Amino acid sequence: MSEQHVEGAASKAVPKVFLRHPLTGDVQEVEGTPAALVPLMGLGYEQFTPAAPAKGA
Amino acid sequence: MPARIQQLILGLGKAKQANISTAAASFLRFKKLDMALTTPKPVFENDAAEIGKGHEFITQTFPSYYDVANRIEKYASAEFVTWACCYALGNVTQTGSAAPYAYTIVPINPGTTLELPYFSVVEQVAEGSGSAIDNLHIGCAIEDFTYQFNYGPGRASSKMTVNWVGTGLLTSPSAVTVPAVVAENNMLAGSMSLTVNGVDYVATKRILSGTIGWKNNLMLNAGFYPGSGLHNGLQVRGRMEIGARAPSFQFTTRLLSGSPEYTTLVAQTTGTAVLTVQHDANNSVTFTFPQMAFQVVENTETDGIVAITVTGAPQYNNTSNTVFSVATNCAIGGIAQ
Repeated sequence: MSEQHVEGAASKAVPKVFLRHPLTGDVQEVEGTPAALVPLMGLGYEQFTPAAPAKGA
Repeated sequence: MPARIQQLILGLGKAKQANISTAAASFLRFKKLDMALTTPKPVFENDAAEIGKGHEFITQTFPSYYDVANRIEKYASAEFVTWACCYALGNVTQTGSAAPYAYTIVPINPGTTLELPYFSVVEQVAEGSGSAIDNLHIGCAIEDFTYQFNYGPGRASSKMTVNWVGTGLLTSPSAVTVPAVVAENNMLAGSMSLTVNGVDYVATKRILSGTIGWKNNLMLNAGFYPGSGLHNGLQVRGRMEIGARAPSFQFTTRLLSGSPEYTTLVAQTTGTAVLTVQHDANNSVTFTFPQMAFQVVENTETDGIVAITVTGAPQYNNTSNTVFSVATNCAIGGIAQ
């Protein structure tokens, strides 16, 4: 029960977001909060979803 | 049978277009306050000024281009302000796998692109067994928005106005099935918090009214480049790039003994300006200017009470790497995605 509670709390943690610069291709994984996102987005980084690894990879 | 303006169905593209000429695949239906219908205006030129005809009158007309633009004036809801800021600023991050979704929005970086995400606009007015108007405008961009707050009760205390421009690409009839009206969560000014240069204007009960604005100064003429395309023989825009963009922030506040605004102006002190307005915790908008000085402080009066109107001078901040950002929460996911 307590483990479920801990997992529930963890699921409410701030989600991570992948940002990629469209010109350099640089990828950053940051917290999905304005404080973390704005400085990178201001430089032109854009949200993207990395491709899922192939099964067995 | 004539049609009444209240029959207008206004659909705004939810997901951004894949490119400037491909219509959006999903729409949000909004109510609005103004009664302005969008007119796809074909513009023609003529030969009146040309010599050699024997007179100064028109003998021939020539198709030139399509001119499409309109405004949307609304009470400020979390849903519409999110939509407007996403398309007006352009760089959008959405987090959350279920409602409420959180959006972080900043102006596009001109080092990576000059084009904002494009959206589609559909307008339909039923008449008789058909439609008086059924137009789908493809490849639209926001020229400017203004968020306005005022003292006083009700939804009119917090409004959002958007001016948008189209490429001229048009599909009529639209063949779009617009969904039901969005259940909007209006954000009254009574919910507002406002801190500017370290001064909490709500706690001191001084704030009266104000506006936050963003203008893209789109380079509309440059959209008519050679090869941009024709529609019905009239040229349409093939791009709409940002010009010299201009953020703005102006507010009117009661003037008290010891009010720091004039001192802040003279010293050109800079600080952050943060305005938050909300319907509830899941439907909110926060506008942030990370660095702002005052440009003008002008004495005035409001309802006989001495006040000042402060015009801010937003500055680019080298830590935030932006001049302006917006963070919102709302129940609609996928806006400008």
